[in-house]
Amino acid sequence: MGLTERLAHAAARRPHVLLVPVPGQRPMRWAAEDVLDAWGWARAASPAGADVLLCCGEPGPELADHVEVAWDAMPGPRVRVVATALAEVRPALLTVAARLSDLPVQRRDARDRSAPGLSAAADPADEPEASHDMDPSMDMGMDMGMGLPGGWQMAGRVQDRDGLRLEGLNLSLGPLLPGWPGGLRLDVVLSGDVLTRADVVRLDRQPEPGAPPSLVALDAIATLLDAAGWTDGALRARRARATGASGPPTQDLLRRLRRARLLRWSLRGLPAPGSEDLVAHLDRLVGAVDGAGLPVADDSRLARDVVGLDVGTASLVVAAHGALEAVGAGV
Amino acid sequence: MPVSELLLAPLALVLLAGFVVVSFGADRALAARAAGRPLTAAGLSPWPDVARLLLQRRRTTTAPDALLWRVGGAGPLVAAVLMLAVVPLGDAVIADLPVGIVWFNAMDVLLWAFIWLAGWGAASATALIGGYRYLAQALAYELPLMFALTAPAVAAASLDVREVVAAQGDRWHVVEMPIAFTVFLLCVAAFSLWGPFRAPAADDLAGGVLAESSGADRLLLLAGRHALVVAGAAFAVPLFLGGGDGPLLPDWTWQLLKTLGVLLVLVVVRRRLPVLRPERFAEVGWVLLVPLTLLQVLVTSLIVLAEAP
Repeated sequence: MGLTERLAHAAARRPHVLLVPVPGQRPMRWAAEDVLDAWGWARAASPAGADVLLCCGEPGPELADHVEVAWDAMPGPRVRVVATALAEVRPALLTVAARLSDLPVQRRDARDRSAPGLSAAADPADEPEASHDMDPSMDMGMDMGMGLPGGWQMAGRVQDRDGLRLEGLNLSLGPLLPGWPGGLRLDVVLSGDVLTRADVVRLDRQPEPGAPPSLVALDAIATLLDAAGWTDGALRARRARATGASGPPTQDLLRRLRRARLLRWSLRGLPAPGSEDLVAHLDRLVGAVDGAGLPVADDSRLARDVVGLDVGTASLVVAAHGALEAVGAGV
Repeated sequence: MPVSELLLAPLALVLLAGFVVVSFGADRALAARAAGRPLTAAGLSPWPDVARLLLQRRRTTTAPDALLWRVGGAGPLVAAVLMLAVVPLGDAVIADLPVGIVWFNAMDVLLWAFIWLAGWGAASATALIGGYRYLAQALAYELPLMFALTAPAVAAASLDVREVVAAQGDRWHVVEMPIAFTVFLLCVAAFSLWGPFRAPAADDLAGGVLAESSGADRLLLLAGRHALVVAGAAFAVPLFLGGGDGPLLPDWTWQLLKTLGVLLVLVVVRRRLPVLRPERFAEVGWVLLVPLTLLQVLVTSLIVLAEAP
């Protein structure tokens, strides 16, 4: 066995997976997450860190575009798995190791594509013009004359939250950010790292199939903990989700959550769906595990809530909405 | 120069790699416990993760600043190795600098540039924001770290790491400066993007400074992070834990055992705590840690004065 084969076989033992939740296919996402946790496979935070692109369901036409961009951005060796039925998730993942370490196929894949990361969507020509509220006397010269590296456009200027006129960068966040609900995209204008405008877009909108509210609450807790960077807590929450709301893992999780002072301090004051802040939201979710009503996400409120937050915090707030049934003016 | 000292530099690299493997394995073991997975030797090995990054292709973005991106990617590992150069192993030390403590501090300040460049070079919004987050975090931890380093130097009346060890005898610094010791460990976690301080590379930014890097670039950056934690743990031992002081076993064994202990504490902290958002941590840094560490330096100075002959 040559060196490359050895590397390929070792690498295939613990692939990093970019999970694509598809709207309306929640059970499949749960199944996939359970398999990854059980096998100790890692979840990738971005396409650059992923070996496997796992679609939990057949993506609709709008989401499919984003999936394609992510696929192009994966460095390779890479494998794409589309599970179209709940029973398919595990068998499909079982084939991943063999496909990843199949060197002839991977070599062909590498030869037949452009350099990873240079996808169509990263092409500056496709980027919307970033110039709200343009002041012609100041900005035109910049926009017209200067060729920036890679052909990027100079950002326009917008009013920021402190009343300054700063650059405004148009950017789409999601839908494949860790913890984000399937198909949710946030089209934002950024000044520095602060959102000065946000629109919530729901791609391929589909209602989620029914599930026991206590399990949905545990799922929402897992997503929130993951987004807040408490990886162990999230693992335990997903275990609780898999074993049911009355099992010992759930009791263990709730006990740990009550003691999690640092988490509460970190979440305090951040906007939450239908609660005062994310701490109150977390408590409501804990209540919902025991049978109280689930909070509902409201997209139009979300779009208002994230304005004025920095990108990371906004991402956390979106993830907090993620696992809940959404109402409101998502486009 | 005796042969043993010539061998010290390669030995230090081997030990560094060993400690990185141990901390990785300990982390995987804790993860397996949280997920309820059975523990297996294969599950603890870093080899699969290393192999996949070695095999992976190098990625690029539309208009990267390739040179600075690579500098930022390789920088943390280099800084960690240079930090270890002033940590004594028994009586031997690679670089016997009269200003070893300042050297360590200088290496940690270099990280400001390296991590920021790792974010800047990728020419991507989330990576760049990750880089700036590191600077925001650094503004909060750097002063407490400097004051925490000042306390043992004041007690020993020297910036030479070996003299700091000699000044402790069998009354370790951690006894009279527990605050400085705790703050130092916090700051090691902070400059290494470790656990609660990984906000610059956190998932909410799709990996932040790591968002765009793959293959060998990513391997270097991740290895650098682990190496920084090891270097920080190793440096805590001569500063606060009496260096090689201990019964029965030779000095160098105690240095290694204590390093391992500190490292395992950092691994446990990593998994148990959520990410501290930099803007919240800034408040803690300036309102709590700066006054506390200043108080620590004051107390240490008073002890020195009281014990002066």
